[in-house]
Amino acid sequence: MLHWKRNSDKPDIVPEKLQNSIDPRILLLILGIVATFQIYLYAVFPNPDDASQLVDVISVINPLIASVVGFIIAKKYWGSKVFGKAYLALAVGLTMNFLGESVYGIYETLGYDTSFGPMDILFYAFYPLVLIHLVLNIRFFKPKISHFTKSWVVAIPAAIIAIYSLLSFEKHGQANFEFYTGLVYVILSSIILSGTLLGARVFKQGVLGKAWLVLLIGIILLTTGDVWYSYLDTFDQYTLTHPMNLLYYAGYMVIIYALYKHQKII
Amino acid sequence: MVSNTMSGLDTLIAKSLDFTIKENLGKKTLQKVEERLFEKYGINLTQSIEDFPKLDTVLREFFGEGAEGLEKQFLDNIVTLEETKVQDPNWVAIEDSSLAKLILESFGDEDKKNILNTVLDESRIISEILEIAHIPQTSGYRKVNSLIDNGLLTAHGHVITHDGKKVSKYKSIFENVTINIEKNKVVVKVLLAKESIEKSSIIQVVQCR
Repeated sequence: MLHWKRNSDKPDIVPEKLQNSIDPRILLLILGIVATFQIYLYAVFPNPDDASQLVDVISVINPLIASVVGFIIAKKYWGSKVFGKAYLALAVGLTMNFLGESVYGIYETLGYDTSFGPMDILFYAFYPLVLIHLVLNIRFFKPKISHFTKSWVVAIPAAIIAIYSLLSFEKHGQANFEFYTGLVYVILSSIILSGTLLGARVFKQGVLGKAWLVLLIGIILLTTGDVWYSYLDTFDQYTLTHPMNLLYYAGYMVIIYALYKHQKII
Repeated sequence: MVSNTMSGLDTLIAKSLDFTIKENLGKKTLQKVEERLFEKYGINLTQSIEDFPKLDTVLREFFGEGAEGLEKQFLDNIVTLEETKVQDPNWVAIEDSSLAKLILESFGDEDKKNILNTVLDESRIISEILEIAHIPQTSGYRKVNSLIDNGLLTAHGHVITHDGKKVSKYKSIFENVTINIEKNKVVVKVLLAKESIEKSSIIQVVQCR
């Protein structure tokens, strides 16, 4: 008579459907880390300017880790026309943000004007590179896009740009330089938000859809951060300890989790 | 090993399938798809072409709706189905260079060309093919088997011999072939036999969309 003694004795059962769910504990952990950091900033630095060193370090490390993870994933698909190029573009994009944050930190340390400079060019470069990532994936997996889909892909950025412009004009009554530099961020980030949403829809029914959903959450966090930052910057209300920064910190961590999930799935 | 009942067109497609996945999505992705195919259905990638709905199921498990684009890419990278009204819809342009080379080499070999010409419009048993094409039995069987393995000849019906044995008849998967040079590129177009398209599970699945 046969007896099953240990778990390892049991025959493996092939799952009917591939499973790879999003671990809510990871998302809660990210939320916990950024919330704790914000509470710490409020408690230790009543004057936001005193937190500049710590905030700069965190702002640089976050996209740096994301870009390193991006390159590790890109190496896994190295040489392949779609995944290889797409993940390389995303990794380079994250590196641009890391370099942008580094230059921003240097400018701030040296007391230079940070309202507009080379860091903005580096930050801008992030968006077309993410767009390359999205276009390569979507063009390969969904070559035919319906008119309805095309219309909402255009409508989402249009709505975000309109809301940002309306709110800024309503409060300021005119378009200043900060408004226009901020507008560029809003336009670019709303385009990648729309593209990521389309990507998440394409892969929705498959396990890869889970990784895209996490990526979408990360992009939503970064996009909301961009719109909020641009709005605050237009009215000179931005501070280093402003809770808006949490969106950036969490956004990168969520993107790291999305990259990890992608390489686990496929 | 590719089974003999596999559609000739599917054999052609199978030859380039793993290359297409590897080229676009990487070796690791190909490995994952192969592992899942084996785990779920006990078949490899080449065998899954024969039973394309199974490959479709696995690809959908990974890529969701994106599987449709991926499948279209397989096909588009290998062949282009001509959609012009003036031409027969079964005309196919061979995009994959290794397939084009395979066809060119087959037509470049005098014996293979004669074998294919013998069964362009009518299916025949091997001995009959070799007799009409005036090819010696030993080398003839080798060349016929090579054409079958490469998917250019496909089983199409059978005859019963005097001693009651069933002998398969073979037919070319093409009804016509044109080879042109356009802008320094050799363009191979083939007119597929209707049954080749009907028997191809991949074309049936992709065209149903």
